[in-house]
Amino acid sequence: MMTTSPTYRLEETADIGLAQKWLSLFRVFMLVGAATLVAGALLGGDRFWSGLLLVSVFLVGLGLAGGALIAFEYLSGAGWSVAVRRVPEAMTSFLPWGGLGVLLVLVLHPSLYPWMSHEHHFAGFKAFWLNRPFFLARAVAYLVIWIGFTRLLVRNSRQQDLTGDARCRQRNVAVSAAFTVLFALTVWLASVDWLMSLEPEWFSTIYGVLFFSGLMSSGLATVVLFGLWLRRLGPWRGVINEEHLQDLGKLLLTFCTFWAYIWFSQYMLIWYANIPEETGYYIHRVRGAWGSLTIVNLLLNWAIPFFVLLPRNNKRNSRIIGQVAVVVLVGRLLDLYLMIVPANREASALPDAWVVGLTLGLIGVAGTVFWRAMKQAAVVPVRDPLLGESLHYHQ
Amino acid sequence: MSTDAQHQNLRPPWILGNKSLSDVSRDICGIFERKPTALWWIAFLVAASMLAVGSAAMIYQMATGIGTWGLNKTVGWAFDITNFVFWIGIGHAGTLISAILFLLRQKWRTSVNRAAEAMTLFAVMCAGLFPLIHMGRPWLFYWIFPYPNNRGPLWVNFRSPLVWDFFAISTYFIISAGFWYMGLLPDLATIRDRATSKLRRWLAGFFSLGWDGSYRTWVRYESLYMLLAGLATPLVVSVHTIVSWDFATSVIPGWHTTIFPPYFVCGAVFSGFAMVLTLMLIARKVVHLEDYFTHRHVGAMCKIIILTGSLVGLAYLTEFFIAAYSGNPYEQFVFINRAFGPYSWAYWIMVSCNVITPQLLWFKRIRGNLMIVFLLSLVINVGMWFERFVIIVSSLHRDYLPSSWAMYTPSLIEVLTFIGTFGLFFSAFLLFCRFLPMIAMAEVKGVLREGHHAPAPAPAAPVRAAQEVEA
Amino acid sequence: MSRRIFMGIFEREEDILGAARAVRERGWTIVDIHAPYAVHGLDKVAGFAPSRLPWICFALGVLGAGLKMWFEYWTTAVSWPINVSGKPWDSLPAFIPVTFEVMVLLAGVGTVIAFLLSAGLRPGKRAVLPHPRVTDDRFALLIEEADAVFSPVEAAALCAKFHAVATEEYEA
Repeated sequence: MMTTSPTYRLEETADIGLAQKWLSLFRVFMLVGAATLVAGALLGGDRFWSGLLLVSVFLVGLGLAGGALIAFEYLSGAGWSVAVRRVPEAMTSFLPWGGLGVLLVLVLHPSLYPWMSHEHHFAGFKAFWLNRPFFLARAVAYLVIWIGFTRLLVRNSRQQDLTGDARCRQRNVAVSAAFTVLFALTVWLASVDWLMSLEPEWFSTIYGVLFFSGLMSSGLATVVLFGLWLRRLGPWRGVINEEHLQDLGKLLLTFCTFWAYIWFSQYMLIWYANIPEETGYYIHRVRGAWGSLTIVNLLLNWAIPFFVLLPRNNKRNSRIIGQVAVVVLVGRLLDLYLMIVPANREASALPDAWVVGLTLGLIGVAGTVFWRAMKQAAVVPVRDPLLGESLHYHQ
Repeated sequence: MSTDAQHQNLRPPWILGNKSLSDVSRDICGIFERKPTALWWIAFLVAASMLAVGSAAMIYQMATGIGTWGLNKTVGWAFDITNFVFWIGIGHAGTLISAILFLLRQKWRTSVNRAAEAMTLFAVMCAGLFPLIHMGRPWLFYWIFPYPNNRGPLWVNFRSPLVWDFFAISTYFIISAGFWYMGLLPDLATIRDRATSKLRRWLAGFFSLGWDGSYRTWVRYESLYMLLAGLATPLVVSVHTIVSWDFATSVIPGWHTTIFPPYFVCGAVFSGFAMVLTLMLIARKVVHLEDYFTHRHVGAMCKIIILTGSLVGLAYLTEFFIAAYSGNPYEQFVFINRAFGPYSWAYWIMVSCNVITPQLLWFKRIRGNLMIVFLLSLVINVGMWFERFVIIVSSLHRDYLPSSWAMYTPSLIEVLTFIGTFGLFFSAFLLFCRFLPMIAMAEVKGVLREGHHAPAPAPAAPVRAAQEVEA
Repeated sequence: MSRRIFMGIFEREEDILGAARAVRERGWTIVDIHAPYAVHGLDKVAGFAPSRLPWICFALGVLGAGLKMWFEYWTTAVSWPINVSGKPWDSLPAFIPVTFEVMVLLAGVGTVIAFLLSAGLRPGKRAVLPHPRVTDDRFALLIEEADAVFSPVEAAALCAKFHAVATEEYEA
């Protein structure tokens, strides 16, 4: 069924004046970010580089969440979310940018990882796993896999706009299955490599799941925000309605709760067993200023989104769900902050200017890259056979 | 919901045979309105004998004491807790199908949810028996309940995972039973209104609580169903999480690992789906549910099995990897001992049944062959039993002190008790098939029109309702 | 109090949806609808108020969690404190699992009871069916006749338009 014309492009449908205002804002943010980057690379110490790692991992996470959402949609055969799919597709173009940031840290400032700089007497498997060339090669391999597979998914989906070929969907189901398997393996290993090995003596088997849960909740929050933005600008007026918002809200609520569950599982088991080599990780994070941040982290990532999104009408209210999405994104930044910065036991809990500048840059890059990616195709997958179901979707 | 023709082709019907609403009532109620077949009697007698043997074993060990088990001071937890976790895990598929798939609006669940929920209840009953017996003095089981008592009052230790377990399992049983019974209400009314025997009419009438299909009730009912699903979803996750904490809160290498909660939950769903498939594939043939439980249902369930099975495989890998990465020699020893020690046979049974053979389900041809799917579901049941055995016994039997290393073999009494729980499970399930609708009629009726375009009946001239009834 | 009711019997969910919508558009009052299963969207078409059970469920959940958390703290830290493996008296992380379970138990059981009370269902209650097949394959639409705007002729025509298989007027 064709409810939209095949040339349903961003430029033709958006309120360009309003869009330009936003885009110039993003451009200013990007300049701030670039200036911070240059200044930090020349002058900054550990705090700058951990900030760069933070925003880069955040951006990579959004790209990965985009890929995962597309894959899950194809694999489950869900119809309701088809109209929304172009947003996660556009989000996958964050991956090269975030990946670049991570590689900059790994190449230019390896001393962020204690095992790379000072003498660490690891033996056996650990010495093999945590060695610099292999570590860098793995990082490149993860990024190649992620960028390659998400490109493939996006290309097939856009192809269908032009040809209307039903096989595009079938192909993407197969690509999604392969991507999901590789995604699980690589996201888990990348979280161990990039974040857990910041404290190389500490280990936790659930760490990858925790990383995944935060990645998904921040990804969904981003989908909500970009979706509302597109609706405000025009192209998505009549595309997403309260029903879609309610479902996105449910998913956001679910993943925030999932994050809380995984967070609590890790915390409780380490608290309960109280083995010195594990407990050090949390003792540092629950005392003093770090402890306050840990509580704020739980509020932002779980308590606020959970209780606000619980009533049905709040999920359907674009202002409320938009505000919750912002809270969740700030929460994700804080969660990564708590994973990365206290690895250096001397670091103070107060965020510094580097992080602020880099976060502004992050917003700028995300907005600009998103807009550019959205321009490359119709704003909805116009010839996906399930689009009709999605547009006429009722709870 | 779009009704255009293209969409209809994309979403083929879940229920085959172009059934009308009354066909559904007739097909499903017909199963227990007929007299039981010889096959049913044979199956029931076998199950009941297993139950009898198991009951004798239970009475014996309660009278004699749990010294009749094969435990020793190194392996102080083995067969009983393995079976407990095994049965609880089986139960989780029922809640997943009834609650989580409901929230995800997976319409295929309507063909399996009733049987799966019944299975949950019976599996939880079987599971509950093991800790009860292991208490040694099961007649004092109520001591685990925190009531004001004249022993101090000495309260239960709320910091103990075993107390958490008690609360989790009993809450799980009560909520699952409530969910199941509420789901049955509209169907009981259907049974009542078509019953020919007086007894059935009275019983169904009593238990259907006066259900009259009023839409004002349906509105509340839908809300209730959604709320119970919303509560049961985190509940089912919490139950197996707490079961995993029985082990993970300890400081035993191989038990104390943070991934246990999600890993156990995935494993539980994995084994539970295998058991639902086993039961439904048999039932499909025996009572002819081919139109209701189709290849597409099997396919959907196989996909969940692949998903959860792969996650379980990933968890095995994570444990191994982190043990190697940790550099902790005790952690490393446990995993090497698992794979190459005296219980390596159990470990490799687990890996081949849970990780290797289920990969066959990636192929559509295999998913389409119900015999192979049935065999694979049995293989997974075996594999998941061994998973619990491996985790529990292989972590305990060689501890920090090599002088106290020991082996564990179950005693005959333990094996008979386990067989007895199978007897309980199958007896209860067979009775359920005989007396209650195996498929949720009111829910299947709601998805009947999916993918179908029924021709509109010719506009009828208004006739008296009484005439219509006679027709 | 007796009232006159006009009843239409339908076979298909499209018809009951269409008929209910048409009745509402004419400004007549729907007394009730009887259906063998929950028809998607019928509650909105018929204008039935959404259930208030979610609020009861939420309140009971909060109550259960709060009471249990207090009880665990009181038994473990106040009434009879025992040092178990050096855990603190107020072992908050260890109290959460049981708190959660009791929250679910109270909210779940309480909501079921609230449902039964509000719907007036109880064991052994006699069901009064407007038509013997509403629990099998018929939909019954019950319209209030007392409305000034109501017209039985028009109602019969409306029901026929939506393929009603039977209509009837009766005192309830």
